[in-house]
Amino acid sequence: MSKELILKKFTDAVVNGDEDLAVEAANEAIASNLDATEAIVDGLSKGMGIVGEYFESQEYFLPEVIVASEAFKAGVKILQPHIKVQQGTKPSKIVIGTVQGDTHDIGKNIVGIMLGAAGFEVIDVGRDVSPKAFVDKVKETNADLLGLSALMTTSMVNMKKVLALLNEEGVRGQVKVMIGGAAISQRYADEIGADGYSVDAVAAVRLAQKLVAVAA
Amino acid sequence: MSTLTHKQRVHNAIKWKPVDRLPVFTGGTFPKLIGRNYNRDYLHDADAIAQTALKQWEVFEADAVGVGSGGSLEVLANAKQVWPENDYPMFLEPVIKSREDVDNLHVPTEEELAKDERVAAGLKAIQIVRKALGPDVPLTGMATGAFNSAGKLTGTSELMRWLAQDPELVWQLNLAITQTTINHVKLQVKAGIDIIHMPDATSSPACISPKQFTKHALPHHKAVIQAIHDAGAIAKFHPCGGEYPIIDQLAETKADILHFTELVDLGVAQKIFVQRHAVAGGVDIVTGPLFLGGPDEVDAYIKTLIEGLKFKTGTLIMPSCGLSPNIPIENIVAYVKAVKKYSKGSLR
Repeated sequence: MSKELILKKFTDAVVNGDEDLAVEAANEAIASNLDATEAIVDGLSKGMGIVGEYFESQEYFLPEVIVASEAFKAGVKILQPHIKVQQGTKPSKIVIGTVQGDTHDIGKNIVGIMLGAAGFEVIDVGRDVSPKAFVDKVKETNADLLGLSALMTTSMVNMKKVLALLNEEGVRGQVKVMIGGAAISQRYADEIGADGYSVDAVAAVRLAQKLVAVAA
Repeated sequence: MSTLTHKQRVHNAIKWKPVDRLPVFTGGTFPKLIGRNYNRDYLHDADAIAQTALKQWEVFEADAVGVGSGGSLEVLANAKQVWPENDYPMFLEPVIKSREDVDNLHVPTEEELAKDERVAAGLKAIQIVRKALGPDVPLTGMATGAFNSAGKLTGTSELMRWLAQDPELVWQLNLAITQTTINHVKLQVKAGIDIIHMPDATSSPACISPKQFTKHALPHHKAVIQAIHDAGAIAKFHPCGGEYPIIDQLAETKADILHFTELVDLGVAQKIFVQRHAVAGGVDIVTGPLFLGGPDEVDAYIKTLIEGLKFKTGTLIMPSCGLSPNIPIENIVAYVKAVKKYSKGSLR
């Protein structure tokens, strides 16, 4: 099968949420010696890009995004061991998590999926995460970005504590901080000194790309 | 016009009849008013739930007071939730993972629900509050929407996956949830509830498509709302999240009150539903001043909100979604006072 047909199969698999087709395409790609990175970028990620556009235009909703991301992950799982690491092309890293006192992680998970599909290396530290755990992970991974999520007004105040600890630890200048969640607004982002706020997952990807570009 | 009772004011507003001022609801549960935290012990303590409601009635002076009565989902799932301090109880891990789990669900009868410790505490609290406040004060109860409940049982991501790949399974799960909810509604109304609040974020366009809403959610919402009416109560539906794409379908729910988030302009909602359904909301809890502002800012915000409304009935002013327990009490008091001040003397 030609490279173009295999890449199209990857894209179709993701857009249609067809996990079996993604696995089939991945096996065909390996058998055909297709470059794994190219398969991910020009096949699977292209599909997630289309899914993102459909989500933004409200042609797709969460059920379609979830099955698309599962097809994406199924393809990546098979291709990943075959990726050739290239010098100087490391993806931007983002640590994401829901702040301490908050166990609601649906929004954070969706943002993580969309960021991963957009090419970011996503380090998800989970939910109910302490300020220290966030800061430790940023230092450990040399992350470019930190994404903080909160659903509740009771927990969103802990975002400010994370920023304060980043300052105390002297790493605030090394990482851009973006925040989001049902209770969050631009006003709150401004108040606590975050670098950005996004209203939904699509906007979060755009914001992350913008913040990384500014920092570069 | 002469001053109406709380119940008359709410009923007139629902029917788009003249009111002396717009009704104002606060929502939210504030056990800190009686020195308690929102946790497991609190939600199993009928006296504490009742005393909180009575204190909120006294402090906020709104037109209705909520009396929480949850727990039916735990009975259906035969599983216990975890109880974070000052957060809603939740199942940390999915308790419904397969078709077999759905097949094994037993819908609890009214009698079985009433025997549950938490359900019973809520029902007793309703009775205490009703006795203390008399018949004129509207009491609000709760019927969580089918998709919200299903998401709690399966995990929302898994529910979305099922909806894409096995929608019949979601339908079967939601049938069990809907019947459980109906049985709990009947108990709440018998105990003294006048208005049932039914939120469902997970069936809103924030999660599923308008077509999926029509096919998989609307029938369940209609069934619960019909049951609320059959029990003799008022139904308030809160499709929580990006409601515009399904706004044309909301009349089909036959809910008496459509409660919108900050994503819907209350003035626009008035124009769409005039003389058909009462609309509620208007107070933006995300960008408005209730959480981050002070009483003066709240007062000015409410003045602008009410001045912008074309109709001065058919509308209940309330927060655009649930209030967290750390919203400053003085801001809520200022909000209620401002609604009374700026909508006073309103007719139509």
